[in-house]
Amino acid sequence: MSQSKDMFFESVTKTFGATVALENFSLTVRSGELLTLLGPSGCGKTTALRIAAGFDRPDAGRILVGAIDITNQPAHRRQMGMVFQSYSLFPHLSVIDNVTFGLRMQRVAPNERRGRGLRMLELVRMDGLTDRLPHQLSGGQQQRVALARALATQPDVLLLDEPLSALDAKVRAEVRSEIRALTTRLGTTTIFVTHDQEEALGISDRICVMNRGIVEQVGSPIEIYDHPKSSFVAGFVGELNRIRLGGVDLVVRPEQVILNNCHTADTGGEIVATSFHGSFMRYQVRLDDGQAVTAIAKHTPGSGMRAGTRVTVKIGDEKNERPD
Amino acid sequence: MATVISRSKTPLWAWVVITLAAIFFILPMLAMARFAFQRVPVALLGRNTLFDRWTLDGLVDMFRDPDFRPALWLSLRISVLTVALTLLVMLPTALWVNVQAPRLRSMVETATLLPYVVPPIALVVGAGGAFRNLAPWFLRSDYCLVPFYAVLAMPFTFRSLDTGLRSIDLKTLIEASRSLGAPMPTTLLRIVVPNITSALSGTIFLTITVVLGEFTIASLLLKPTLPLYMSYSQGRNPQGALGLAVLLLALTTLLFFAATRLRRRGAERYTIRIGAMP
Ligand SMILES: Nc1ncnc2c1ncn2[C@@H]1O[C@H](COP(=O)(O)OP(=O)(O)OP(=O)(O)O)[C@@H](O)[C@H]1O
Ligand SMILES: [Mg+2]
Repeated sequence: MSQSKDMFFESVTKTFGATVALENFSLTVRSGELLTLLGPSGCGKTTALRIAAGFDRPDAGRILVGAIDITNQPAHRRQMGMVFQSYSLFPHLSVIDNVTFGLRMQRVAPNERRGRGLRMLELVRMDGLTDRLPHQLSGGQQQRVALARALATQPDVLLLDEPLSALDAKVRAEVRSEIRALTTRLGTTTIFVTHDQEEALGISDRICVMNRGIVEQVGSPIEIYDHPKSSFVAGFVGELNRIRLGGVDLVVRPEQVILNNCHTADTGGEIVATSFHGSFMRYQVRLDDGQAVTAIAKHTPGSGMRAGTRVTVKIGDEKNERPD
Repeated sequence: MATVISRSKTPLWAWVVITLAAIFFILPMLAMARFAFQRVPVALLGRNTLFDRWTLDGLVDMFRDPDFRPALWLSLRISVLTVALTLLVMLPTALWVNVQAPRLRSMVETATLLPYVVPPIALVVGAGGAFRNLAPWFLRSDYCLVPFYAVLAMPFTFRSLDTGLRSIDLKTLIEASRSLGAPMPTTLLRIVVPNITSALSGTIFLTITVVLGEFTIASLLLKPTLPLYMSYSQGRNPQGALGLAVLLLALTTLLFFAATRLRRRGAERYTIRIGAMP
């Protein structure tokens, strides 16, 4: 539908006073993909998006869309759709007028404008509430309309800055999958910002893990999870146990730790805490030598173990790469 | 149906307060009105003469006075220009403070309080002296009052605009609009202004009030504005002058309520639309 383009950050640097928000930040966002910027608070994700949108100017480096350098283009000339963390619908305009605002700026004729706006609203399942004002919508509905508004002009790139963070868990999951379905369907190049690693793993074609303004690793969710290039990535994406067993240092994901009930008091440890998560159980185990290990086990009826149970601890067969 | 959105029940004590306040403000106005519109000697204005000899003669005489109309027009022109100048200067200032430099807010706020600290007489003597040497033509023009009045209104206008801008998520709204392809002027006109209409009408209203009520500066600079005319004509035609004062009061009050009503009507229209939704 929209003809998407690759987008490039080329050695972008941005400082705020003494704070280096982005340092020599280079990244390619491929046409049609959903790329997530993932990293701890303050690592520069929002700064990268704002520079892409044209709200901030980089100190050095370039931004390109396709072959065109847009570094010095003002925000309103760029073809960027943006959805913000806070609710950003225009309070005085109805849902449909919000969605068609961008088309109006492009001087699209009123009839076509309305038609295209309604189609976008259908795509986010908001076509029943076209005449409402923003304050009459729930948070999830507002963000869906904001998404429709950002996509209505068929932007080169869609920029999403933690658009789900104000929503509660269930609505969050719902809108998240809607974003994924919609951008796939429209083939829109998308940059999604989050500091929630689970969200990043679930939604992305590729993830760019950032730390202190620097790209740590770019790759598919599976690559990032299974083959983290640095201990920062390994620690930030997914959970990690660092333990020493039999004189060997190991880095293991909780799901690779296998616990078995044992009654003899041989090698192993004791479950100190459990928590139930529906499809799986989490166990906190204290080994006899004092080390702490987290394990995750699939839940089947009758399989749960209680705190205080003595267990043997084995590490699963899969190869565990030790980053760094 | 979701038609009741903002109308909550007003408690009794609120009505009592409102009534007392109304009496406090309306009684003197009624007294003024009787003096202005009854051809009865002041000493005889009592309960038993309540319905005697009401007349608009005083006011009509005043309207016929050849000096009246020019004074009215001058004040109206100055009002319009002062409103324009105020919006031109204070709106960008308030925007700048809210978007770019929230840390400078308290400084700007203090600066806008200047007219409270500097008495009008000092303002005129100071600024007047400077202009008399630099640009004598400026003080000769009747419109030289415009910047003075804009400054006088500043404490009200800045606060009104600033409050309006603070009540919306200004930065995000501007950025959302810009990312949708609207250049800054369009963004201000189509997105910012419609969301601060009450602050804007407040600003306009307060500015006009200042212009229609200012006496000192106009008199020092010898400009024949409406307040000056009213003050001078008090000797010649006291009934007419007071009648005009009553009229002005009533008019501004009406305007004020009209502005409030219009806004509420807008809100209700939206509400009814939802009520009709499936
Ligand atoms: N306008 C600004 N003025 C000063 N410092 C800023 C400004 N904007 C960002 N910074 C700083 O730049 C760094 C990166 O900020 P940024 O907002 O990009 O982080 P983020 O990754 O989006 O974090 P979060 O997940 O908390 O939103 C932070 O240290 C922040 O304090
Ligand atoms: Mg951020």
